[in-house]
Amino acid sequence: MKSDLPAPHLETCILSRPELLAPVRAMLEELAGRIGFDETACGHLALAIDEALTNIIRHGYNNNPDQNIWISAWELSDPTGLRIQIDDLAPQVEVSQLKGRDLDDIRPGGLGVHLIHSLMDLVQFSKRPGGGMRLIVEKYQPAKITSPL
Amino acid sequence: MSRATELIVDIETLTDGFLLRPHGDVDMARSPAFRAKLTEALKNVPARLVVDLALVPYMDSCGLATLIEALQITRAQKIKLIVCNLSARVRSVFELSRLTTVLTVVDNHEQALLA
Repeated sequence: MKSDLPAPHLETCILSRPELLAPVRAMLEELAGRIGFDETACGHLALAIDEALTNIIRHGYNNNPDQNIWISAWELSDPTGLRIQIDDLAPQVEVSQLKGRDLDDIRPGGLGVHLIHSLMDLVQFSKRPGGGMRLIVEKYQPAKITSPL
Repeated sequence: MSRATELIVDIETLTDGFLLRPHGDVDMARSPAFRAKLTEALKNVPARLVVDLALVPYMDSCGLATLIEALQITRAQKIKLIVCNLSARVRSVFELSRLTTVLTVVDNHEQALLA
């Protein structure tokens, strides 16, 4: 899954199986922690990616366990943070349809997209030119405050 | 990979119902097992169902959806559903989803028995 960006710092492909969500969460939490995110931010990042993958498995691939999902990650320097791109080959949908539900409408389901938007600083869904969908999310570290001595 | 989809849930009998204590992450892989345990406990139509999340370090929207399903059943059957012992991480997911406004969430086991 090539893009216009430089080579990612981390790139992996998983099958569309729910049992693979936990190892992906662990991997991304570890990466975010090593970049310098605090524990809360690492957890938020892992949850956002978990929600994105869950949506692809359930809605994009209709629970077919043998489809591919590509995950790429880049460490960002200005602002410092992490960019994660998730690509699939699921049927394309209009980006305008990818909205979280109204939280006052209490019912099972529909929370994933809301959580992704709540937890990440940038969320960008798009149709991939070669078919499938692409999600790019970015999370930034708070600016470090340095006090002059 | 069956262990990734299994969820151990302790079930404790209370004087007026049941306490369920799942062990481990509740995500897309494990929420079906969580749902099955909740459904089983609700079949008995207890007066109270406590879900103790002390041993759940992580829950995603699939876990939340399972609890919302249980909430809908308990409301229809006049069963008290109480969730307790949320870790900071799980609590933040509840708050982001505004579930704390519709579910009875208390700090600990003792409060859950009195709620």
